[in-house]
Amino acid sequence: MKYEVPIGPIHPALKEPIMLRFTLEGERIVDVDVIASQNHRGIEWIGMNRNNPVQSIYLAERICGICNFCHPSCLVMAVEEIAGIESPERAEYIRVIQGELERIHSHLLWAGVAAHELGFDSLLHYVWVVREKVMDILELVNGNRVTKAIIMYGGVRRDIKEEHISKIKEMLEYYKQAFSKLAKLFLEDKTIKMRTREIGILPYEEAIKLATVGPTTRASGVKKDVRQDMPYFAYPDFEVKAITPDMLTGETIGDTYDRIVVRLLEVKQSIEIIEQALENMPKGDILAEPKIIKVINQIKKSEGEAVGRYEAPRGEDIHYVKLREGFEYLYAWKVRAPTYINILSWRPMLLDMQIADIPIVAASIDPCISCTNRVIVVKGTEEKILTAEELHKLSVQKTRRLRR
Amino acid sequence: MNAEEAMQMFKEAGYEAWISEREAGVKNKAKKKSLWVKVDKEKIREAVEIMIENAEEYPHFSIISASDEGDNVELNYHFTFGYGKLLEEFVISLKVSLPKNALRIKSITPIIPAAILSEREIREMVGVEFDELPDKRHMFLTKDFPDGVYPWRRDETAPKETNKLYETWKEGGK
Amino acid sequence: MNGELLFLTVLGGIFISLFGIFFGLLFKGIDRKIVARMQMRVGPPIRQPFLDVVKLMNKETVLPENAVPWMYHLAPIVCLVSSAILLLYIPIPGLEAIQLSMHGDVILVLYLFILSALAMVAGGFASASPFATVGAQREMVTMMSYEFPLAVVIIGIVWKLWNLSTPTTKNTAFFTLSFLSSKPILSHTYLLGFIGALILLFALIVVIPGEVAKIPFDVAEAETEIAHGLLVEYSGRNLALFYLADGVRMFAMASLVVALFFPYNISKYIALGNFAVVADFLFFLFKVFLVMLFSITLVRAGMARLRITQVVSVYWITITLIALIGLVLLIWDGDPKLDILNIPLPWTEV
Repeated sequence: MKYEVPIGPIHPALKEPIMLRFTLEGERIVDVDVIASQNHRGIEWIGMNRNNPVQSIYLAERICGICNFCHPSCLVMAVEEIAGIESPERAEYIRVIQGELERIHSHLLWAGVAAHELGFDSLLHYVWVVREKVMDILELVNGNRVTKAIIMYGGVRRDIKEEHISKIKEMLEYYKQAFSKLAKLFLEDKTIKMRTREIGILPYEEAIKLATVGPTTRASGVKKDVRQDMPYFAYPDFEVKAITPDMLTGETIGDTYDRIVVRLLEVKQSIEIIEQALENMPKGDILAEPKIIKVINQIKKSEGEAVGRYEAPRGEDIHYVKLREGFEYLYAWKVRAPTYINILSWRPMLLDMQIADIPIVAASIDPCISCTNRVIVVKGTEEKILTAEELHKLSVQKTRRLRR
Repeated sequence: MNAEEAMQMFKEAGYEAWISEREAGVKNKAKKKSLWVKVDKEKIREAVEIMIENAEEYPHFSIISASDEGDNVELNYHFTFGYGKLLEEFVISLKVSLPKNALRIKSITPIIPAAILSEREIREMVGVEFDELPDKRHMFLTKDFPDGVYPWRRDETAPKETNKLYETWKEGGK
Repeated sequence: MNGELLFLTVLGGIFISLFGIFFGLLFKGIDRKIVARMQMRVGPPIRQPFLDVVKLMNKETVLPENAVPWMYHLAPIVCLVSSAILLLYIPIPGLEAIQLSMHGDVILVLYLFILSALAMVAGGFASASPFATVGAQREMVTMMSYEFPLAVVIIGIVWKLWNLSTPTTKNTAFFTLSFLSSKPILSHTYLLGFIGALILLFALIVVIPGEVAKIPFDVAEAETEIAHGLLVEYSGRNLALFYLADGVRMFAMASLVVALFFPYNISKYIALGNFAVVADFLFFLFKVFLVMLFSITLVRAGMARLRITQVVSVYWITITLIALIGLVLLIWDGDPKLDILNIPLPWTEV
């Protein structure tokens, strides 16, 4: 007997609105359909029609709260290439450090979520306590935990000062110790192994054909990492190697367990990169041109197109930007977040699995879907979609009712 | 295959191709290269197949981007090439120009399965019709999004009544 | 049964229900606090479950559009009542006066546990949600899997003590919990039987999380998978009833373990005079707390949720085998043919 179960748009396993419609036979999954249109905030449209390029940096930051350094970096890289803006050496190093700090916090956040999806809440809380350390450093250096507004065309807006460096080093020591404990908890715990080994397998060929990116593809053995493949910022100095699970376990299966392995190893890799970067950080300016008006004018005068690529914690971000001389906004802007392309891998991973595997497998690509702006009201077979304005009107009405 | 060889390959096949470069790195300088190829709209599948045949690894499809060029809509098919080796990857972008009165192109989904989401998105955002696209539902926009309105266009089909939120706010202030 | 006795029984029933609810919620609060501390959280105050119930009672009860109303509303009541009745039969020191005891109440207790689980299943099916349906199916499968090892444990103990009992008790008191708890199995066996009894105890401890739907066996309610499964559509008063029933079941299950394995009273060893009853009662609560700590709280904090297939294989294969080994050891215990192995332990009183 076949029946359908919808997971999402609102479901405890999904932190963000997306809908998966499963066709099941008992507990076995026989078909999956992804329905994404639960949200679209029109960020690209705003960048192309309302914001000047500098405002768009901060808009890009809000594409994803977790990757709030990746998306603006991508945009900045593309625009810098077109406008020919060079950033100082120190700024490139600071960008690398910021990016790696973000990777640590993102991977730890994911590890916690994964534990929660498995019903292992103690591990969730432990990992998130560990994660607080890097959040404190981010707050110390940037003044904010997320949406840090750190990057700018031609450099960064805040320096990593001498007093920060000792704090960061202290954090790195803490993580080196925590890492072995985390690895033991995640990789040797019996229940976690039972729930993740041989579950949600994405074979090498499928990973390549479906163009998956980031840890999802590396866990299937594809050595693809923008930091390794295509240079940006100061990364050529570090000779980053793409991490595949066989480095630790000796074999690549491409299952959920392997994706845990890859992410854990990447945390370690990030620690090493930050250490190296702190050691070799050159002195000097952090911003090529501090006057924002001048930057905007320079961008306004330039014409051309470029692609910015950045290895975000979840995978590769790509921004395509086209500028026109005299045009106030970005002429064309296409954002491709890693989840956009990784969603496709859900189908081969989930087919023939059980309902119980849905949360952890879905979470294993670390999906990041962002926030909603509309609600669908279903009554019988009729659907009515409320727009942002209608929702806003309703909430204004409710506030008035409450005030009385 | 490096970017120059790829450019040569496309030129031999009769396409117009050029490379743009940018330097990265502080102590180790490295060149980030992008290859741009102009493709006629009838030849899009051929161009993709050239890549598939000649690449060591299956070409990694990234995204299709679009821009409104007045009378034409330009699509860019972005691929990345040569991953897995240190600093040797480059981006190939296939540029296709479609006149606005005939926004039709062959879908590449049958040969690059990953392109399906992107083609669905371009279809709803720009209004390009993809032949042989297996799934033509809306991707990001809602089911009831009006036909003939394309958010990424810069002509009369662009959405007009946007941003009502602030007006509601003003009315609500009474 | 005359009128006065009937009145007393009804009154006793009400009292024991309130008693079970109170301690069920209290232990739930303690459980949550301990788990929170183990997870490096501050955790809710211990009275939080009481506040939860009060709040749920004040909330609107929503009836899903396609639900079967009578079954949907009846299920929580049946679940709570059958859980509360359990406590009428499980011996609690100090409350013997209002408790009931009859021939075969061990079996009755087993069926009452099933009844409350079945009420949840019925409620799940009646709420007509795909999540609740999946949850109800899972609950049934879980129930079928843990019933067998549970039965093996109970039968093993009952059989052993029946062999030990004198001809007079054989007819009357046999198969009653009060009789079983007057002859604790751990002190009525030789070495082999003692080990066997410990093995059975272990099997029973593993059955508890399945019986009360806690991690790692909470597949029927798995929050991240099927959004609290069985209970997904329940709200307000109905949810409060299920919440209470959950607390009572936890308390009853732990009391059952105490009654079967640790019915020792503190007043036997320390002369307390008039306070003996109070001391025994408090000691009982302490034992229940320990059982809950080891079988629910610590397990819940230290494991991930299993899949339904894994739940079945754990219970049907691993735990059943373990229980059967315990049973065999109990059978061999005291057998004249294995006389060398009949080593009396210091506390053995046969």
